[in-house]
Amino acid sequence: MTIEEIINQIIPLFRDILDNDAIVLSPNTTAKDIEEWDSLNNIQLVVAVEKHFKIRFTSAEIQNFKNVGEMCDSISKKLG
Amino acid sequence: MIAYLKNLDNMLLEFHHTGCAVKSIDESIVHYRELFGPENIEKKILISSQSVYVCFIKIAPDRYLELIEPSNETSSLNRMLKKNINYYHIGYWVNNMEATIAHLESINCKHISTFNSEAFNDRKCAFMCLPDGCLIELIERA
Repeated sequence: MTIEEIINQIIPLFRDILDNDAIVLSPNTTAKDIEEWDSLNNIQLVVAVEKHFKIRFTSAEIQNFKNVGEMCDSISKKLG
Repeated sequence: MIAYLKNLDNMLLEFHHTGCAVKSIDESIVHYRELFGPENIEKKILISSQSVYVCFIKIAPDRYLELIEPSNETSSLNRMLKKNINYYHIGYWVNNMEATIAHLESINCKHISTFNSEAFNDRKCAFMCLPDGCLIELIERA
């Protein structure tokens, strides 16, 4: 699965969790770019992504993600 | 293996409080004063690192309801209140914060943040997310 395909799959998750249908994501998107994205919502996003792709992130992995692109890279690796 | 983390009742996590988001502690407290008596209402405290005010209400021996009010417009609590979310976390005493976090992470809980809380005499506290998405707060006894 390409990074673009992964991003397209996580956009609805972001829009649902952050309650904003206007959210658009790119590999460079960070929490600073989206007003609703805070530390509490971050974990809810991670849990939703884990459920969607049936994968698991460690706390260390989550803390190391600098942007959406890095999270998608990790998803891609876990999906093999 | 985790026996040393448990309390005398053999519990890893000992219930302390339920956290409830409110728009105004001063307004909500009127009702809780009637329900539980003014002697069981503690003072409002600012938790600066969390951008909230909190107020604990004793509802049973060693059991509390924590009212939480946003202290500014940027608090994430504002979004919860807009969605009419009120009860949103459970707080537990733990004997050893670091070891408990490590153990919970080993069973797929997610560590959100650690901070010192003015509400607990600057004791270490941590928020964690259970695998089902539920939020818990850990408060270190020592």
